[in-house]
Amino acid sequence: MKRYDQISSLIWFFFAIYICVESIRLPLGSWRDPGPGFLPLLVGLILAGLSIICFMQARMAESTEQKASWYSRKRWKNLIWVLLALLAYALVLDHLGFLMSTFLLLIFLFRFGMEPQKWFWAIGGSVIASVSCYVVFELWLQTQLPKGILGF
Amino acid sequence: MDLLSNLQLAFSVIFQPGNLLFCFVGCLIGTLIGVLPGLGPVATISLLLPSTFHITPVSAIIMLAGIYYGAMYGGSITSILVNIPGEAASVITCLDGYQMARQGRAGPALGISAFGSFIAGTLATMMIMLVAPPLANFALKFGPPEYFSLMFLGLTVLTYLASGSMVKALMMACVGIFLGTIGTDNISGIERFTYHSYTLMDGIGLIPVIMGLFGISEVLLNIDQAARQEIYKTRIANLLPSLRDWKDSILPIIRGTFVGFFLGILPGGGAVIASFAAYAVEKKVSKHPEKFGTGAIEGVASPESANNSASQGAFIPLLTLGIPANVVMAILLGALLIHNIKPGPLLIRDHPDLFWGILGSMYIGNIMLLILNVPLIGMWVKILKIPYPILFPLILLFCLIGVYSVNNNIFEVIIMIVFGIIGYLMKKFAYEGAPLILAFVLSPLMENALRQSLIMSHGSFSIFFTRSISLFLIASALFLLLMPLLPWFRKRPKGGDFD
Amino acid sequence: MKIGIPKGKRMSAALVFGALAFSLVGLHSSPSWAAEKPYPNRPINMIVSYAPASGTDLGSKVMADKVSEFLGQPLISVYKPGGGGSLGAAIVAKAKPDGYTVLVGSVTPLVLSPIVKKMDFQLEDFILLGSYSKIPIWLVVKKDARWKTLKDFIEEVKKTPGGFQVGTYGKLTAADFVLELLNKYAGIKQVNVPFKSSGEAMTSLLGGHVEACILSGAAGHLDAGTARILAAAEEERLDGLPDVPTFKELGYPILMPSIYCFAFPKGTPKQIVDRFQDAQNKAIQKYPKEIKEGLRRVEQWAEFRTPQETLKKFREFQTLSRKMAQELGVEAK
Repeated sequence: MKRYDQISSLIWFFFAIYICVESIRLPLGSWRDPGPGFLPLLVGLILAGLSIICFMQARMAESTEQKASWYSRKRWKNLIWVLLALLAYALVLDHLGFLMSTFLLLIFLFRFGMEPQKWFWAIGGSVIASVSCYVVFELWLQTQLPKGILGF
Repeated sequence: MDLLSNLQLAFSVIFQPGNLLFCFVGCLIGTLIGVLPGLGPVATISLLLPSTFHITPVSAIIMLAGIYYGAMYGGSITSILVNIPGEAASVITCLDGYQMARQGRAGPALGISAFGSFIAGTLATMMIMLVAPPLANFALKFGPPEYFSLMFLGLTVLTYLASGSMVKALMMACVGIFLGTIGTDNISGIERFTYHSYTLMDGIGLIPVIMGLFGISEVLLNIDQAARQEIYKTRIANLLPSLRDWKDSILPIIRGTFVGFFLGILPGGGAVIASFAAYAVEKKVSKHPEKFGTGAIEGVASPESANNSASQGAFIPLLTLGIPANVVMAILLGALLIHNIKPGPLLIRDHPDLFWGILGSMYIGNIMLLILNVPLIGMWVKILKIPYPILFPLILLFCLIGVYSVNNNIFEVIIMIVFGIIGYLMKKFAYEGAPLILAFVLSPLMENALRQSLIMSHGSFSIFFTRSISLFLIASALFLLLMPLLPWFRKRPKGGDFD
Repeated sequence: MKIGIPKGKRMSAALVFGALAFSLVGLHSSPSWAAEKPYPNRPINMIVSYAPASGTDLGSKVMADKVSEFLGQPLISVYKPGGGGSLGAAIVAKAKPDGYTVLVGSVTPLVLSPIVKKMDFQLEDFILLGSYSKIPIWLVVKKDARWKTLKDFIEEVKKTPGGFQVGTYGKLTAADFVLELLNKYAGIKQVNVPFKSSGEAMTSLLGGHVEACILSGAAGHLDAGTARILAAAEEERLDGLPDVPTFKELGYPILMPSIYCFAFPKGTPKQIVDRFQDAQNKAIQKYPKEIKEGLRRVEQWAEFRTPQETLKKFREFQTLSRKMAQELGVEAK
């Protein structure tokens, strides 16, 4: 944990600097009449200070045996695939429409997410799930799911 | 007016077959809405508002009210099962409820949640009956300075929420405060950190953040784990809470009811803050606070009771003074106007059947909701038996649709995914999400209240100390903050940390 | 699980099943390349750029109830609150001009916002229909307040060092303008305490935390006997409120045409716009009393004008706002 704490607190420190820089550009006002930039600047400064404290704490703590890495060496690829699939879904949703995008997403997740399911079940399950969601959300609840170029 | 004759009026109104039906329909819809993430009572009630034009006002309000407190029952279900808060008020239930589900105790968690909600709802209704008008007048006394002090007190509650490193929890609080400043500043009209995005102009939505930070991140974490590890213990213990569970939960339920009720009455207070506060209270008075966050049933019983009694307490300012305590009440106010009912202090006098009818429907509604929810526990628990490689895409889909359905905004879906990644990293590097969410919810309210107060007092800070309620709240907050440091003054500390 | 489909054929079976399911669903919702039925052939989205149950929302619901009868399709409220009403307006300005997205428009998002903030839309990006209602902007105090008339109020403000705190529903809004104009004309000092909505401001007023409020509508308290209106920023006295004077008649020329109308994005075909306007006219013709009464219940007054008159009013307000913004120094560069 020790090394990770040092790294993470540094990241937060730089984030805090970003907050401070951006908030100085806003009107700051004064203690008696705080402007929009006042609170963000204050919070940025406090965050910077706390991350330094965290960094120091990590430095001075005894280092523990760090054998396992923070991500699973075996399955990190699955994780990346899932994330990319989700982002791709968000981007094509408006173009392909809800049904098509969801259908493709589910097939992908069933196959490449964790343990690959057999194609029959991946496709079948995907059809059932996407169609039932469509029925519940679009037709029943009138949620107005995105329609793509195919019109549905 | 005699209490007994009022009760008689209440039950005579609710037991008309039409009203009973509307009450049931409302509760049913509410539960479903609560289970589905994203879609909340606000959207549903405004959707159904036009269809109430042609029924009597009493039936309309009974149904719409049922949707609202019904959603509080349903919201905990997904929090417990899959760590996805169905409602903002159910975020805190995730902390212990989900852990209980992983230990095979989903049944007792769901059960205590339903029973707690029932007890809280019924108690709250009784309290409304007895003390509505004086409480409402008390609520009116809360102006910007009081709100600031209350939120300040709320933030000190943070210190009790943190299970791990205090420094890290405070850092997360800072991040939460920062996220809360994103958007158009209410006082000056200037935009902060929006980079001209229309989505961000009104701030980052709470729903994408909590669903990403809790729901998506949990899925990502589970994908990351070794292949054969069980996500949920497959041997389900019991379906209902045991006697031991009841013994542990009954006091938290009572305490949660009272905390929730008072916070629900305050305009702008609400079920979210109530659930956090109730959880913190429980942790503070518990003999083993370190068990919170690992599956302590008190951590489910208390917030669930709080959010139900808060949602019922929210009716008080509306029905007695015509002041809406939150967005849902504002819609109900609109419904009343459309039905030609003038809200305000005269409502009880001019429309006693409406007031007492609603109260009667709350009693019956809570019973209906208990009967609706408890038998379904078995069904919900079965869902957890679906193998995770098949379950997780469905969970993700659930989140995606849920977030989209709030504002039909793809960008919010992306925000949710981004927070999913952030939540995953936070978990890996040992930062907690609850302080972030609490700060995120509280700080805009607090900042607004602070600046409004300073405008009111022409820049003088004394306004916070010259008004009695505000003074009391600030004093309590300072007391709570300094209390843990007292032992430190008595003996020399061993190390350098303040954990 | 055993299903009687041989292993090799399973994938194709699944695909066929999928195709069938999709076509059934697809047929249900008419794809856009199918033959176009006359407008409107599906529900129309009514974009409300404020929170549910706001004045904008309630007024639009009253109208939608009757107009949809003549359109043959429902008008569905879609809420896009944000940026003081500008988010919804921005979305409609960019929407497809096919007649299925219509904004519940008013002066604040369409006229005021582009002037005081940097927006990428203008009043000219919209096609306005005829107005249907107005929500007066007025100065409100508690019923049991010391001041019974505007004159009393102004005198007291003059006597108080530091001026008065007056709640509004936001900075850089029409109410803010009324406040500044009153300051200027009456020579007094009122400080704007901005809240998030008229409802919040009213709550604060009733709790005694601010002395007065300048609101749009009265958050339900108009007839509840809890509030008193000192003056309204209107041309003439309002129907049904004989005791409420206007700023104008008291010597302060403060006018805020807070009118509401539907608005289509620029480029919407003329026959669609005319069809909608026609439906609205017919609804007003057939149900004048119901609409007036419905609007009155939600604290609004019917204000039926032609599209040309409406546009004229909006433009007048645009000139006024530009002038005000320059004077107050809040014009967006």
